[in-house]
Amino acid sequence: MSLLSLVDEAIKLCKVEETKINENILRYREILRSLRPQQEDGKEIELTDDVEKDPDVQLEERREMELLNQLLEKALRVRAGTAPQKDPQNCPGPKKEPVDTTQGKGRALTPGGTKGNKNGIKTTSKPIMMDKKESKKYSASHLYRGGRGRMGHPVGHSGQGRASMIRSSVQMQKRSVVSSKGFPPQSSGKEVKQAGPPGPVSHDQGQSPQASSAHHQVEVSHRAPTPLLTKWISLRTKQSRLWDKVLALQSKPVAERSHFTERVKATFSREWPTSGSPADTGAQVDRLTQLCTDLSHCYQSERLLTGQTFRTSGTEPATCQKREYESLLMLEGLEKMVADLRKHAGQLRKEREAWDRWRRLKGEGAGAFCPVRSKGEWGDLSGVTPLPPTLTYTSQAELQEVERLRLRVELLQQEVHLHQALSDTMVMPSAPGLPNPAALRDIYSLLGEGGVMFPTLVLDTEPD
Amino acid sequence: MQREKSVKAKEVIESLCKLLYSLGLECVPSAETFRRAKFNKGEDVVVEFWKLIHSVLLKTLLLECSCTTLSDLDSHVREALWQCGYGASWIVVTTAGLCPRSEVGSRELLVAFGWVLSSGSLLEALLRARSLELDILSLPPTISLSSPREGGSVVDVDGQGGLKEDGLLRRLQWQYGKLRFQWRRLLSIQEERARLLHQVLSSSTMPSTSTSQPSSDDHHSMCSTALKKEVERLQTLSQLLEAYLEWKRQEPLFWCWMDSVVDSQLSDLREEDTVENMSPVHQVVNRCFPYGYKDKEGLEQLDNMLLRLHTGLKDTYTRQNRKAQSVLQDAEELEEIERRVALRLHGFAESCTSTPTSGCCSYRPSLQGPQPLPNHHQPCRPGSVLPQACDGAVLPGKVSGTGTVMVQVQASSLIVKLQQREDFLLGELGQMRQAKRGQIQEKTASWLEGVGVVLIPPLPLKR
Repeated sequence: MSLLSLVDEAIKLCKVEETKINENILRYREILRSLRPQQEDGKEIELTDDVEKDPDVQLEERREMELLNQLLEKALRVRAGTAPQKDPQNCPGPKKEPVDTTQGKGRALTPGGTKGNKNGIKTTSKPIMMDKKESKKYSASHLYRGGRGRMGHPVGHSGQGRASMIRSSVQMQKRSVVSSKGFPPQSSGKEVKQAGPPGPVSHDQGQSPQASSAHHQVEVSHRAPTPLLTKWISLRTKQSRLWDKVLALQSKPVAERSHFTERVKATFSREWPTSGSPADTGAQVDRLTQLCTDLSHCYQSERLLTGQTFRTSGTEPATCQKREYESLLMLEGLEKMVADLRKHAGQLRKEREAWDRWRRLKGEGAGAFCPVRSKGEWGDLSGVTPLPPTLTYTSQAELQEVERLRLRVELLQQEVHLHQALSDTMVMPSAPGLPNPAALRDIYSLLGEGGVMFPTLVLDTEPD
Repeated sequence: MQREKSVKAKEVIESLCKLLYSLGLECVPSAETFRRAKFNKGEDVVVEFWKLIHSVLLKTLLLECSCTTLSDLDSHVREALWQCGYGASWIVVTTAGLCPRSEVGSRELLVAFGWVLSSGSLLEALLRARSLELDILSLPPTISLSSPREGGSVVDVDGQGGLKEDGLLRRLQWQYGKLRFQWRRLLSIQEERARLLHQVLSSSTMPSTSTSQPSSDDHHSMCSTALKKEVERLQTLSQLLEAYLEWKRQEPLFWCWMDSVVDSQLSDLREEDTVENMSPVHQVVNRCFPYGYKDKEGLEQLDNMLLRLHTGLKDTYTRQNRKAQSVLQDAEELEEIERRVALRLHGFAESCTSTPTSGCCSYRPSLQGPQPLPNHHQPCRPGSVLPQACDGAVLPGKVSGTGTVMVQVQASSLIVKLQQREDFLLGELGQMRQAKRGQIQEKTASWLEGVGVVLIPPLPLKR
């Protein structure tokens, strides 16, 4: 069952990454919350426009979202356990609004205040504020907000019912729900679950007071910054200054250090290999093995594809030739690379043998020997920058793009590896063996479509 | 003069100890201990140094087993040092047998510690790890989401086995679906994080617009605890960076002092047998080293794969060479094809080398101001690069002669590189899948015809 374990491994790694990202998000939100409460009021007013862009929502869509939300909720509830909530998740947050709701999907919640004059039925003021500390629920709230945001239309009744239903379910997850649908905020459905600071509570008296407070706070934007804030900012600038100095220093070679290293090496045995280390060799072997796997898969697919074009391209000789030429060039290149690899592997073998001669005997008063599989990022020979370089970007979109691409490349890499594992371990049925159609369908979809789409097997009963 | 020198040495060592301590290393001995170690005085010194080396090695190497008991400490440290290429006499097997722990003097340990410190960029790596912990406003390195593959057993999934194989396939599909869902989730929360990060960063550079108006004291205090923590972390980080800068200033002196340690060691050794005349004991590798065997196996596997690949390539290549050689006339098309092929091959080579600028490493994002600021942001500097000679021979024939140490990276150039990589990976994946599709269709065509079933492949998605 190594295939399954591979995929399980992959899922686990993704989940770990997810928790890390969620932690980060929580921290950022905390910081933001303490930084600029009213700057976000202003922002919030801008953001409301986004919601208007979401016009008539289909009832079906809404229902679908609803169902999906319920399912997710249930799932999360099962997993939630007893995560303590300390956050004062309240709607009020006009300061939280933009933070939470600019999903870039145009599903921002409308802060009640600004929409106060639109319809009598407020749909999505702050139905559910995501509890920032509940990392796992984040994705559900995404959809929540999406679902809510979509309800741009005042179907008060169903909206109301939904609000209460969601509210009750949310109660279990200890989220605070603020009544949304145009209820006079002071009166109903504001359940603050957390025993958090009562501060924000004063803000969320709902729509109209919020509107007024929003205006109010826009006026007082020029208050002197708190000492803590100034300290933070000054520390940040100091830190970036220090980093610049550190980065400039890191690459200067230190002559005395290399002198010392030479002297110590001179004390080793004459037959000691002159450079590198067993851990290095191991790491290089790993890298080469991975590259070799990639190349052999590429080679296999090239071969298959050429064969296929050959057989199926009777009509267009031109493309066939082009394809052939391309694959020819490709194979040429592959051959060169493989020849290089073999040389390199030969070198590694020699190195390994040299190290093996010095390998220590087990059992002479020593315990278990743990192999040092990789050297981490310590003595990497290929010049990796150990210290993080400064990434200068000009806009939020750029930063998001960088992050998205980094993650996407990693995920694609993972997908490629899984595909390689699949194609290595799944052997196609040989001619006499008759695969059952369901298995065939599954295999086709896994290997050929990444599990996303399925072929159709149709019984052809028409007489020819 | 002597006193001055020793005082200087003490200062230097103290700065090192301070740095090590801020880096989060445990068991950092005091400067006095260092000095005593030079003269081989004291049992406790020895113990302290064992612990120090052990903790350093723990942080920098990935050991495949967990060795926490003290009794195993010395053998683990020896093994780890050997793995790092340290070849002093007390580590290496001689015909005389292993040096028992008690005989290893503190001076040897001191030299070993110096060796570990000097090889590679140990302190920088530790600095990076620690700073990533402390500075949450940095982009952490993308972890490798693909676990290394061990050779799995070939599973014959032809459905003839009945339920078992069916169950396997279904479960596999289910797991795949879960995995895809995870991917989508990750991408969406990543987007959110980037957005928030940008907001925090932009607010940290525009102090005048951000104010905090506490609506009530409680609220203010609650929110500012987060900020307080952040401030504390930043202070620790600044101290760490300052300690590092201080250390770099005094580093040459430290190495001079270490030289003197080596001197005294050599002068002692002159009376005993020198190490140079040692030769390795010839031993049968397979019998004794279960872990060494694993390494050897890896290398053999690599050799086999390469051999197979090479012979396969030779066959196919010679066959194809005879046809299709020069039928194409269009120079432009030829160029286009050649370019595509070169790009693909380059993509493979790149995937082998660790590509520092393509997003694998961590970054410290900094928002570029609209006007060029004098000190920090320097938008006119498009990625200054400090050349650093290194022997990065990742792949012969594709040797990167001089590695470069990136100090500043522009987001736009990084985006371009990442996009290229993404295209490459997508292309490869597409090729492999297409090949498989064709293969399955061809193999099952005859059977399906016989049974009267038609396989209709799904329509390709419009991406």
